[in-house]
Amino acid sequence: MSDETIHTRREFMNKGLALISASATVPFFLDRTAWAISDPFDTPLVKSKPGANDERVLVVLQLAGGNDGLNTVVPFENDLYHKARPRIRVAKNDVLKINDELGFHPKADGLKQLYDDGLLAVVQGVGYPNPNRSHFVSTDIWSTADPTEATHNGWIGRYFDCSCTGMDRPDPKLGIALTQEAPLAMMGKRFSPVSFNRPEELSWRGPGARGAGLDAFEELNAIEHLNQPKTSARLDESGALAYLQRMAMNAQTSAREIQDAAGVSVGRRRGRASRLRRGGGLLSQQLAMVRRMIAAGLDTKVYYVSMGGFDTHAGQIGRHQNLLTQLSQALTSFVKDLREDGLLDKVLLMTFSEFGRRVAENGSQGTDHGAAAPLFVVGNRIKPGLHGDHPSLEPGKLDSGDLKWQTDFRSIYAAILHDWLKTDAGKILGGRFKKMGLFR
Amino acid sequence: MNPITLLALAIGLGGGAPNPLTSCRDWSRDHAAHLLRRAGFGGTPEQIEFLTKLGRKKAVDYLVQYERVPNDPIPITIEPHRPPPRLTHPHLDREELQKLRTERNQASRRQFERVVRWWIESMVSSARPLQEKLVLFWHGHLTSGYREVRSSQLLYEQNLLFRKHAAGNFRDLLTDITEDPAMILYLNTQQNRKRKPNENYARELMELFTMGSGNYTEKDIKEAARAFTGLSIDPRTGKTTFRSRRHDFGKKTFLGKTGDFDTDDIIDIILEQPVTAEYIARKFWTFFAYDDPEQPIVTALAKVLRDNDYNFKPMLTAMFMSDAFYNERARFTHIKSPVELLVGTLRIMEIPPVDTTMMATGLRLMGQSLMQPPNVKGWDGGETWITTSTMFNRYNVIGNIIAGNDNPKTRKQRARQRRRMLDTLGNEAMLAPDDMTPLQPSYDPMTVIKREKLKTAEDVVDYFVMRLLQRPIKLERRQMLIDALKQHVNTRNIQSPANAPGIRGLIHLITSMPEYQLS
Repeated sequence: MSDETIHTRREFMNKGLALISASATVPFFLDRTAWAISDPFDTPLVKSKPGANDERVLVVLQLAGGNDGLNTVVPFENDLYHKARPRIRVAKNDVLKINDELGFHPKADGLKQLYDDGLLAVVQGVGYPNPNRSHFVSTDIWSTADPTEATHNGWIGRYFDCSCTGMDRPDPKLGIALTQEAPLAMMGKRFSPVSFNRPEELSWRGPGARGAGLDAFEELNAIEHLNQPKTSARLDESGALAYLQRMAMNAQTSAREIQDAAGVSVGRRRGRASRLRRGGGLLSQQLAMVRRMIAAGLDTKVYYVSMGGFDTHAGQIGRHQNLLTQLSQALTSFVKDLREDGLLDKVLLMTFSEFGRRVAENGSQGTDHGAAAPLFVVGNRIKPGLHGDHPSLEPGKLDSGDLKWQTDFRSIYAAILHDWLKTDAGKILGGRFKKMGLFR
Repeated sequence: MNPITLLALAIGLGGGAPNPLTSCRDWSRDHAAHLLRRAGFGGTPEQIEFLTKLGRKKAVDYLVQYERVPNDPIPITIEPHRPPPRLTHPHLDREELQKLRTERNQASRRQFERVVRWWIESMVSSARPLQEKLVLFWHGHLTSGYREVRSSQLLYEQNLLFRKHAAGNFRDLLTDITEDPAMILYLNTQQNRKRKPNENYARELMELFTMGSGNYTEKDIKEAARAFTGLSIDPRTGKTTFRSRRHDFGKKTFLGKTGDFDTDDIIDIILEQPVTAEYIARKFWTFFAYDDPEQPIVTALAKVLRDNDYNFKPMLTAMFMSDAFYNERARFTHIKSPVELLVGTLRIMEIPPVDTTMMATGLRLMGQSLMQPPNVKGWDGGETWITTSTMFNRYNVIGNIIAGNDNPKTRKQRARQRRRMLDTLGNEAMLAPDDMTPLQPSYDPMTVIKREKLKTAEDVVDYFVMRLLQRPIKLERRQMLIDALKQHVNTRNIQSPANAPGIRGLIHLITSMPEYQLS
């Protein structure tokens, strides 16, 4: 390979891709020269860095809108709970009992199953000081890991900033977000993830995108000189053009790798027949796609998936049931598939929601924005079970009618960064947080 | 070394440094096209021709002295300020108030989308491109965002403020922006009170808006914040008021001066600092010409600004007249921002901005949500525009505009959106006429092909390459385009209407070339 000269862009693409698909099965046989061509950034990826644990993947699942924690993990023996929510409470007889005080919502049977299988950790009362009750601000706080709102990049983004040294920009494929726009949590100072709703979006969609049009597009965006600068360092047109050619090339290589891994057909390539499950909703499909990408051996370390609809101000009962049903089904089939593929040990999933909801129900059979709520961590290497205590429902111990936080969310981030991603959590979180004992 | 350089050196040695803003008479179509791309969003061949004929001085004047050019502003209806429900309906209980609040927020959100669309339309249609470019510049410099401000009316009024002062005077602009309600909300000036100072505005004013870090102390920030105390917004009117009981009338020591300073004094002292003019000059040069300008250019430009009491027009003129503005560091080295890419395409191709909803979404997908910059620093720009995801969005958003979206699929989508909107609104009458934009028709290339009497595939390629890229390309690249076009059109009769889709495909291809990403 290193002796061959690559003449055309097509040849370049095909050879690059051949290497990449080989890498899915034999990642350690890659030689440096091959990477220099197929990895557009020429950076040794995190996987090849000594000390970095290349096997581990983190999946972040955002429950957008503010999940009602009290009706997800229900303190069914607490009279204050039943009093505060006369119309929308979960009846004692309906809960799926965890112990004598707490139980899952009946539609969260999948969570209960995972809990019983020792694959689910429930961290209770997660939040932060002086809780903000605006969706946007609180989501930003969770994303930046900074309740003072002074930070403008995300905790995962900063993790990738740190994983790469020198002047290179980190490979965007390290983080994939199944969202239309890149989430703030994934945006670093230098890092920005690949984001898309559907992998097909990562393609040129001009006329003739399955044939002649695509050929012309690729020819016109070919790299003219392989030894191009990584930035538009040369302050003239040729420097800027070279940079754009390199980036165009990089985008296409990444896109193809992702599309192949996700099993979709784009352009002239036919994807593998995808094992999309019927039913289960969008989240199931998205997690199935994540599972395929993990199985295909992408270099991605963090996947980000978002499920909306949790802002249940009115008519909460039915809506929350549906949401928990979808969540529950999606998580159980995700875990089942990972287990079948022998991948369960290398994947950790963490949920988060910008806030929980008010203890007392409102007049529209719903709940308004609250504060602390439980957070779920799924995996085979965690310490399963309940972590921390349930926040008190005593009126005197509430924060403007909301549950008070017991665990700062940053101590969960610290545990994940340090114990799972094996990195310096203090540097990324900008301070030391007591690390939760989440892992075995 | 050539004789001219020697001569310049000799002059430099004899009587001080050579003027870095020299201006010779060189003027060509390429110069005019470059000026129009940077001082505006790029122009049609006819507009470039017009500026070419004017010559450098008159062309620059035409753009800079834009008040002389008649322009019809795009109309927009802005709802009068609505006080928060807790003031208008004090008797209601918490839940009823919440309902009103939600309704008010939704109305504001819909109006916000209309304001963004109005701005896009203004940029595309204005006869004063430099004014529009400057409004965009000021929005990215003196930032405010909807997420923090939560009022579409106030952001609209801030946009009008930028329009008013776009090429005006920096002192006036700073005075007005300090008291601008959107800015007050964005940088927490309301929370800045005598006994509980909030330094946010004072800090950003110095660090980002005027001087740059390292030119003042933390103490200067605290003292300036004291001078800004008392500015507040009357929730009943949405207008700025001064609450003297919250103002700190005490003596302040700021950047070496002492007195009972108020807002205007602080701005005056900031403008006395030589570093301020340099900071602004560098920012202008970076935005309009190129990154990391040479220090002599910055110094010379800053001098023009200070010598003219911070009026922008002399500095803008000196910048656009200078040879450095047209040299190889400047030409085709700037990665177009999403707004430049989108507005530029519409202006260059004379495509009317019909479905501005699609365009606003397109900007968001390309990473530049108008009136919602990522943070108080604005957009980083340059290389950061280009990521794996934005790269494809750049190709496809422009492709969609050329192809249009007036197809059954989008029509169905819009009908669904409309139904959903009506569901939340409750009745048809509450839907503003411009809440739903019409769909974008396909670009019609045949009119221009006939007018320009283009006969062959080669003619068509050459015409659109020059129109879009505004410079010739390598022969083999030209050939690639010709080959691609020939596969999709009937070459025996290039002017046949049946060729329109093929020619739109060619335009999409040209706009997908790396050359097109550069300005």
